[in-house]
Parts: sequence; C-alpha cells; structure tokens
Amino acid sequence: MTTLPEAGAVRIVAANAAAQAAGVDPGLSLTDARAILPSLKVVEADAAADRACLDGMLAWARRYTPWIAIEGVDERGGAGLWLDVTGCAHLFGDERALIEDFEVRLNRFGFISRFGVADTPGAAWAAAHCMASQGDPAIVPSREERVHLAHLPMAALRLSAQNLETLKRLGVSTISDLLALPRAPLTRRFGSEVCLRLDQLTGRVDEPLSPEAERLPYVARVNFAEPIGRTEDVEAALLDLLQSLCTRLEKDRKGIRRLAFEVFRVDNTADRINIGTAKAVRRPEHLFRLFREKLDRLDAGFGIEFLMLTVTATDTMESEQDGIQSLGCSDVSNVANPGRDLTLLVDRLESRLGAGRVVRPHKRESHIPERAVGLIPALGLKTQEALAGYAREAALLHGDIGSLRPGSRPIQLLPKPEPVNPMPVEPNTPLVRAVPLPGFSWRRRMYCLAAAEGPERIAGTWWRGALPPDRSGEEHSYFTLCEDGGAIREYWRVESETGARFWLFYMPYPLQRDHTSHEQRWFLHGLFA
Amino acid sequence: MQDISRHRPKLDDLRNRIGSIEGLPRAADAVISMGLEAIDQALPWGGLPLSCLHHVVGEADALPPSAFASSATAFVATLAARLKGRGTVLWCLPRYKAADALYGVALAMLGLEEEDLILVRAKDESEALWAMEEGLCCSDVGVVIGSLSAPLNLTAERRLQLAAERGETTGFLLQPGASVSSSSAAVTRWRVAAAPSAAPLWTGLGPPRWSLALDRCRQGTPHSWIVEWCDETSDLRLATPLCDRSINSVSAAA
Repeated sequence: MTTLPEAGAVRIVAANAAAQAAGVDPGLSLTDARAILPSLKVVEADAAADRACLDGMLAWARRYTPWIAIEGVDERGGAGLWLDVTGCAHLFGDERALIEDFEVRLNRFGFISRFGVADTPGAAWAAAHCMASQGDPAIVPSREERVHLAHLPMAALRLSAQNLETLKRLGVSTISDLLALPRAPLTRRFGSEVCLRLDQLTGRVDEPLSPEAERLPYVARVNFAEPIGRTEDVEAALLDLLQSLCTRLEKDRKGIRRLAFEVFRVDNTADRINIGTAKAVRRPEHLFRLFREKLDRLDAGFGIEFLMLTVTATDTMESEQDGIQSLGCSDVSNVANPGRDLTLLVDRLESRLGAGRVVRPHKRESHIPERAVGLIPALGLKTQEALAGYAREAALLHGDIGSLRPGSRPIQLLPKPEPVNPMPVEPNTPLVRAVPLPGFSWRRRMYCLAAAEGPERIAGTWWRGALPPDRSGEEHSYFTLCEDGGAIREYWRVESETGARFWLFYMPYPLQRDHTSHEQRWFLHGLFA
Repeated sequence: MQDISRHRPKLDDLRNRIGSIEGLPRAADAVISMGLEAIDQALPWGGLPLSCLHHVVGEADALPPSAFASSATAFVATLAARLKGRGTVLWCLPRYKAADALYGVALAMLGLEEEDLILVRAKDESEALWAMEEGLCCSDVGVVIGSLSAPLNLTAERRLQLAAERGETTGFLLQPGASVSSSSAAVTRWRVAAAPSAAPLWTGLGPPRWSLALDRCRQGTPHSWIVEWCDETSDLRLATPLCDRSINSVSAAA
C-alpha cells in the first residue's frame, strides 16, 4: 500500500488486494486505515520510481506493438500503458492470445495486471478499470461499446473528481443513465468534459495516442564485404562511425563521456579500445585523435570483419557555435569554460598517460603543510565544483586561507619529512645570528647554517584523532603521530653558508615508538627558492 | 685590423636575415620584461622573447639540494605567473623525482593559482617530453614547463623549439644543472643558483638572493647578476649596483 500526504492528512493512494478486501480503499486517511487494519504495511508513494518502472515496461512492451504510450502519470500514480494493437493482434493469434501472452510475462516479472480491449481508448480504459480483473481481460467486441459498457459506473469515464461528485448527487450512477440525458443541458452544467469523455468512449470523437519515441542505444557499426587490415581503412571507417554518432547525439543534445571501439576479426576474435573524456564532447575529430593514440596497438590479424562503436556514457551538452573561439576571443584560463584545444589536450594526455595524471594542485583548508594541497582532475564538473567550493570558503573566511606571508612556505615540499643529523654544538662557540643549530647533514652532506628565522609552531590535529591514510594507501607516519597529541613541530627557515634555504622542523616531544637508539628530533621538510 | 664600424648596418642586416632563416625571434616579436631593467637591456630583444624555448638550469652540482633546483624552479614559476594571461600553464614532470615535491601553496603565492596551472605527472622523461610537445602545440596553453633531470639531445630540443614557434607558446626546460650539454636549440639558457643573502637589520632572514647568469643567448652576450628576490611583490632587484660583470670575470674570480 502506498500513501501520499494531501491537505494535511496522509491518504492512501494505492492498496493491494488483501488490504482492499479488509476495507482499506484508496482515498482513506492513513489513521483510519490503521484503525481498520493495524497490520498495514505502509510505503510512501514515489511517482518518479513509478514513472521509471513504466518507462522500462514500455520499452519492453514494444514487442507487441510499436504504437505505445504511457497513460496519465500524475502525482497520485494510477497509471498504465496504452497499446494500439490494431494490425498487431493477429501476429499472436487474436487479441485474447496477445493479452494472455502479455499477462503471463508480466506475472513472471511480479506484476498484477488488468487488461481492457476496445475500439476506442476511452472504452478500453473503462473496460480495463471497471470490467476486467486479474486473469480475466475485458474484451469489448467491435462497435458494441454502448451495449457492453452501458452498465458501468461513472468512474469508468475518466471524469474529474468534482464532476463525478455532482453527477453522483444528481443520481446519475451508470453510463446508460448518462446516455439517456439530453446533451445540451449536460454541457451547460458540467462544461465540455462529460460529453467529450462520453464521445471518446463511443468513438464519436477521435482520441489519438502519441507514442513514446523509441530510445535507441548510441551504437554505430559497419560491416565490410571483404575483411580489411590496413590502418588507414580502419581510421576512415572509424571517422565515419564517429560522424554518424555525433550527428545523432547533437539531435539529442548529448555529448560523449566514454566510448568503446570494438574490432571483430574474421577468426571470431575481438579487440576493444576504450576512451574517456574530461568533458562531454561531440566533435568527431576530437574523439578520433583520442583513438589514434591507441590504434597502433590494434592487431588486424587475418582481417577485420566489422567495427562497432558504442557510447557507454553520455552527458547533456547544448549545441555550440563554431568559429567564435577560433577568432581568438576565448577566455582561455577559465576552468568552467575551457578552450576547445585545452579540452582536447587534456583528453589526449589522459588517454595516453592514464587517469589521474593530468591534475591541478588544489588548496585545502588545513594548517598542516602536507595536507594544505591536494590534487584534483584538471578539467570536468568535479574540478569546477572544487574550485567554486574553495572560492566560497575563502570568501566566508575573508581570505583567511591565503593569509600566509609570501615566502613563508617552501617552493618544494618533500612528500615525507626526512630526518637530518644536527651538527654537535661546540661549547663556548656563540651561535651566529640566532640559529637553532650550527649545521646539519642531510643526504650525506653537511650544511653549515648562516642564518635562521623561527620558530613557527604547528601542532597536530589532535581534535580529529587518527587521520585516514593517504590516498596512495601509504600510511604517513607523521600523520599518524598527530593522534597522540605530541605532534608539535617547530619550523625554522634556515639558510646555509652557500645561500640554500631549507625548511627544518624540530619536534620538542619526539615519538615514543622511534626504535633508533637516539631520539630523532630534527627533520627537513622543504626547500626554499 | 680594419675598422668594422662602417660595416655595422650591413652586418646587422645579415644577422637579421640569418635569424629569420633560423626562426629566431625578432625584436618586434612579443617579449616579456624580466622585471629588472638591467636584465632586459642585456637581452637583444629588450626582454624575454615569447613563442620560443628557454633553458633554465640549476646549480652545477649533482648533489642535493641542487638536484631539486629550488631557485631555478621558483625563477621559472615567477616567469610563468607573469605569462599566465596568455593561457594555461602546463607543467610536465616525471612523477617519481623532485616532481612530487612541487608545493602548490608556494606556487599560489608566486601567482600560479590552481585555475592557471595544470600538472602532468608523466611516468618517465620520454612521456614528459611528449606531453611538453603536445602542450606547446596547443593554442589554449600559454606556457609549458618541463622538469627534466637528464640533458636532452639536440634533436629533442629542436623539436620543442619548433613546436613552441608553431603553437606560439613559451617553453621552459627546467633542469638541475648537473650535466648540461654545450650546444642547445633553446634561445636562451639561464643558470639560477642560491646566493648568500645579506644580513637583515634585525634578526631573521633577509630577502633571498640568486646568482642569475645568462649563460647562452642567441644574438646576445652572456651576463651575470646577483639579484634579490622580493617575495611580497614578486620583483627582482640588483643586489648591488656593481654586480653587472661579464661571465668571464665572474668565473675568473671563482
């Protein structure tokens, strides 16, 4: 049973046979229904899911007729399928055989169905809703609607709730009652609706069905009379296929995100090349260049029999105007709307180098140096979102993110801080220019310090507990030490005698788990310009 | 010795003709100021020519920190930030080396914000070279930087130079200066190394200094300077006014 809130009360939209047998009918409020049947199982109505289910059923039911449409989906559900079986029923024997076939198959899918067949859509609707029951389709013989449907209640007429109520109060309860009434006063009283529905039922007014357009998958294929083997031939055929696909996609205002190119050889073997794009693309030349990087490794074998191109992912894409960008007035550095050449370049680089290799550094809000920058894909929706999100954050914090003093961060940051050995302090030698240590050795080389600036104290994120491991899966030992609260680093900018500048840090509370005999306190984290 | 001064117009004309055959930038082509008049004047074009390849090397020392070439990296990043109005900056680097060390926060401070910069993390140097060439041919890219550790052969450099001319992009080959071949297809070669900074008035560090040398320059003569880098304004200034010596006297002094 499904429900929908309406006018302050949750009302029942649909109920199964067992519930209806117990007296729970659509239109009842949920509290009343619960009073009647406490064991009710309630689900909220989901019109979108209903629609999706009907769409699927519609695509499937094309086996019976190409002229097929969905019948009135509104927010209350209560929908069905229209099938125009004119000229199709004989393929299954007759109408009854067709319906039996349909019903058996639907049953196997787990659907309960009711069928009505008649000359007009209106009569078929009335038959399906008010005459048929499960497993017993109502078939109205041709031109006998008036005879067969006369006894049906007014609900069979697809009238609005208001008109239905008024007719009921007037004592008009069946279609024969209505047919007996004069038409002119009826129209004056109820508007055109009642007469129109009546005429649609009897066939006096035509009611056309507009069938849903068939959605074909985006596949293009080409067969060769003789097997081909030359790369030039494959390229030419591929370009043709791409062109035909792109024309189709343009009509549907879609662009390609992923594409598979399959090659079938005469000896029943196949090969496949996949490409992906950072942004929806619809230009054959662009896609062709992405494929050409990979066509070299294609082996023609004994010859290629046919080629197939399948679009595996699409995005909506509005049609674009040619020419403006080639005039040189494009805003090239705009991420939201990158130039066409840049999109092509990123796609080509990614298709050859692999995913995740063409990136942008992306600042994150973190005071821990190694976490302040991440990598995001160079182009695409995600990138736009990330950049927009960062701009928003920065605006909220009034530029707090970028408030580091220029020159206070090294141009190169080592992925992992490297331990350095401090030079022993000789007694009675005053340290020059307030350096914290006279020198250090790093990567088997000594550096004597001439000047220093610091310390800048950076504490771990004790409030976050253990940080998740890096994306590479490699656990950062310096991240994990943040959890025990002892991860305070004191950063020094130091300059050696030759002028090289380093970013060193000192840990006042070194790690307990360090297995080396002496405590490691000094690390090198970056290099300044 | 004959007086050659009367032949100078003829010689200049000849130089220009040879230069146009070689595809060298002419003075009329687009240039960008190096941010320091003394350096601009030392270049025959009145600035750093665009649409060609430049070679920037670090210190002549294979050991760290020279292997990171931090000063050269910052030098190139500054120039790229000046050029970002001409298109996206594409930085190609083999991902296993110093490449991963490039720090986005500092790059943003130099003016290379994330929307201006695309990093290409290549598997090896040949992939990085391929990516560089692709980038140089792309009209939406303004600057291509390639961080490489091994010196390129002349053919590879020539390819990049031609691609830069074709795509009207500016290329920078960034290399730690361990081993640099003497011949090069690049238009200029710069050597950037850290130099000891002057003591500040109070405690702490003074502005960093670089010893900047124009090693090779087509149609020009080598020069060297000690410059001070001002991080607030991304500007260079001469450390001392008397530093403009020719490279020979510097090497003789060293």
